[in-house]
Amino acid sequence: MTIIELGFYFFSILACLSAAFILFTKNVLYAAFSLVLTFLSVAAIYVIAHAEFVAVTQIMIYVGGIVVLIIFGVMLTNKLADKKPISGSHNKFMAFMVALSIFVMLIYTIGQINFPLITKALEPNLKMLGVGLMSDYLLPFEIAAVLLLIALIGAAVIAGKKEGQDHAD
Amino acid sequence: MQIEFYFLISSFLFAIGLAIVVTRKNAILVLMGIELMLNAANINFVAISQSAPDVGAGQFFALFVIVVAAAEAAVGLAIVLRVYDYFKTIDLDNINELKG
Amino acid sequence: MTQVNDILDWNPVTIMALLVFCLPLLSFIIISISKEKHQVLMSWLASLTMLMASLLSIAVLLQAWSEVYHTKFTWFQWAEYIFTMGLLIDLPAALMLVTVNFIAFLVHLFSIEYMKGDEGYKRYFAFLGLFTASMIGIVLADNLLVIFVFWELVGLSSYLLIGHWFSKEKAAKAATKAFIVNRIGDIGFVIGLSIIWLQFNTFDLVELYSLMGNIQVADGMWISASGSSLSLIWLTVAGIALFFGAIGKSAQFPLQIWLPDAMEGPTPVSALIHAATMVAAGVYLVARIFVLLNIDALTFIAFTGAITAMMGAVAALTQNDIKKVLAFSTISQLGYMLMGMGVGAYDAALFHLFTHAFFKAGLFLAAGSIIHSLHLSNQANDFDAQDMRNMGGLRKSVPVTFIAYVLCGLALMGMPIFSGFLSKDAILLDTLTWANAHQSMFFYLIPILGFGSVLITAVYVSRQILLVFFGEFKGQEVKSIKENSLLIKGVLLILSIMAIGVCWSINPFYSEMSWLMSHIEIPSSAFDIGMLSASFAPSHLMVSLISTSLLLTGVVFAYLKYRPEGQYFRNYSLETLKPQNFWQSLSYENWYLDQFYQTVFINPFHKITSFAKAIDTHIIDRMVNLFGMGSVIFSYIVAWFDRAFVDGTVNAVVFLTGRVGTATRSIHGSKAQSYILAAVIGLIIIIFLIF
Repeated sequence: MTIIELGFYFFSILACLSAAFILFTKNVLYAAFSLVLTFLSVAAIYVIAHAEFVAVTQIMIYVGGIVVLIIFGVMLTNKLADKKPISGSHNKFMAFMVALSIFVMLIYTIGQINFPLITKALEPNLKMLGVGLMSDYLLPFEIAAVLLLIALIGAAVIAGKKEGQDHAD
Repeated sequence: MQIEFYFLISSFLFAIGLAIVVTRKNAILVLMGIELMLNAANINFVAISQSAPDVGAGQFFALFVIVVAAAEAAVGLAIVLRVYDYFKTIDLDNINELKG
Repeated sequence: MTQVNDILDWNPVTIMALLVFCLPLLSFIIISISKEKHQVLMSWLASLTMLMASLLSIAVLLQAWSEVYHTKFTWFQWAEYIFTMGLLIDLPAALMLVTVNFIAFLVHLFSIEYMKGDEGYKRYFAFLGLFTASMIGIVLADNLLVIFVFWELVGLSSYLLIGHWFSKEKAAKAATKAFIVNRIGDIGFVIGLSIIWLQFNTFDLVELYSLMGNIQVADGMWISASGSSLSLIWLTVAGIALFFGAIGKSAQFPLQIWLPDAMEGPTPVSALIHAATMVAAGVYLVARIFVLLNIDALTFIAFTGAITAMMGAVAALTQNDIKKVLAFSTISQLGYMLMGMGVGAYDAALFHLFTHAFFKAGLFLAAGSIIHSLHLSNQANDFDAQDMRNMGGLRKSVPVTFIAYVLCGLALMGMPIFSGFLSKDAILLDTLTWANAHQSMFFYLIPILGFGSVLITAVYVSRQILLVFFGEFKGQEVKSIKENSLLIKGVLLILSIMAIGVCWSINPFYSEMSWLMSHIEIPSSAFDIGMLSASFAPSHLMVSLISTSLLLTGVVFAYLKYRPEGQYFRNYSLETLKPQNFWQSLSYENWYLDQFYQTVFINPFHKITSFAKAIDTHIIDRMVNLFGMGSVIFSYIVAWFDRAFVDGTVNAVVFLTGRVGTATRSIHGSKAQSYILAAVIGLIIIIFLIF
């Protein structure tokens, strides 16, 4: 067992545990921090899978962007000064059953397929990604850029306070 | 390193994410669950990108998924803020204007 | 029955007669709408109208002397039956027309003075007009149905005029009594009309005359020309039923009780309605339907009349009220007339009707004049100006009235050379002939009752004249009693002249020579009633002698008993006089008829009604209440059932639906996460199904 394999198992278990913690904790803020941990673990798994650029992107966007955004959201929607941001859960049994059956089904399906072994270990190839984005995947790249722009503008428009609506509620 | 382990992890994370989406009352937690499910999918892409014949293609997909997830998170949170403005809560049990 | 000759055109005579009918009606309408302040003018206008009507009716009489005028037109049609109405003017009708109008005219004149200052002056004259018009309607109508209509109108105006002083309880009660008793008679009238209609399908008198001429009587059946047949008994019933109407109107036994009470009305009204005209309408009706009456009905009429004549005369003997004496004498004289009708003395009865109308009106108006004078002299409240115990010795103070009273009284007695003698003797003669024609001695009862009444009539008239005009005045005099104005005196004089026989017959001792009687023809009837081809015709002279001697006996007896120096006269005062013995009480109380009705009909009726009331309150009301309570209880049970079961069922359904809804709502319940859950479950199912 190599150090890489050990790392993989460690981060896998960490990701699973932190994800499970999100599911079970009542405190939304803890859940958010636990999500950071999950994302970092997943980023580590990416690194192990020789996808360094994706891992970096994961950390930058998810941990640095989305989770910060989520924490802001939590803080904006809860009055943290006087009490903890507690949130309950429901549909526990049904959700458990559904999640379990999805999991079992996926595992079963994966078990049915005879995947080839990973034959060669890939070197980090940032160059390949850069060329690919600018050549083969130029159109999706541009579309993703436009999508991001639209999403940002849309988010700003939706969340931004409008005059005259302040006192509506 | 067997590729099935990646799939196992991603399946588990996906199931957890689904469970979060279905059970948690807080809208932001529901968003977190969605992000988790997207990440689970990303793990699959990245795992597949190691093997032939199209090495690295999965990484592009992962990148785009991340971008879309970011956009989704931004818009989703904006909506959550509007909902909070309107209902003074983001507890999904209480947001039931459509209740018959 | 279809009538070929429905319409008979108007001719000048019938138009005049119609005018005579319309004039009093016009007077009624004009007075009704006129203002109170013009009432005296209006009363003169009414009298003028009546004068015109009288003159017109005399013109009609001259035309109708030897001819019958008949006008009719279709009134309405019902199915195939045509109802006509019209005027039938024969000699009796024309004479009656003159009598009614002339007496109405005189009464109008008299009333102007008599009713002066009365509160209901205007009302009084209006009703007089209404009465006169209705009376003329009875006289002229050619149709039993129309006669019945006017018959009722006459009854109504009689009611209104008797109750003229309706604030007096006695007057109001008397009016009601008169009305109700008349209704009892009218029931008979209606029954008679029904039978007539059933048999002949017409009410037209002229048609009835001809139809009655064609009937056949076979095997006890009454067969009309059209073939409809009824048992013969119905003919008798029809006659008696129609006569029953006359019994009510003419105050015959047993319904004569209303007439004495009707004296509560103003005296001129008593003169017009309750002496001269309306009460004679019964007699007139019998004359109109004379041909419809068969021998049994006529016999019934004769006996009723004779009994009434006797009873009325006896009741008049002891009355103290000046008007009640006259009322009973009217009953008695009407009995005479009907007795005459019953024995087939159609002409004599009508003759007596006319003579009686004048002298009785004269008597009443003279009594009214006395009452008026006494009222003017003493207006104390408890002073009864009608009570003879307050009179006496009045011949000096009211000489003209005295003369009129004596003349008319002699006519009433039937003294020779006076009008009553002529008519009364004619009736008596015919009764005797009639009784002779029958083999049984039983039928002599009628002439005996007739002659007896003559005696008693003489007694009570003499008694009244003695008590009122001779001796000394007994009442309290405040101012001296004075004779009334020229108007009243004039009226009285005219009427007393009419009481003298020469006016009616050239030979005042022999009624056959009367211009009137010789012209009235006895209608030919299907039945041999006439004089029954009398085998024995009693001599007229003998009858006259018998009646005159009876009369003189009566007068002498009355003088001996009631003379001013006698014991009776001295004791005759408000304090002392009470009925002395049974016979006097019997007379005074009018044969106890009122008490009899009170005991036999009214009291049991009261008992029945109170019994019915008790049943009503105690049984029916209680049952209704129980029923009501039962329904309330039942409805409570139903309500409980409703709530418990029906509502329960509905609620259960609602509850169940609600539960199902709640259950299903948790799926739909606006929870986005539930939708996701459901979607995933669906996804899993699809995957299972595919793989």
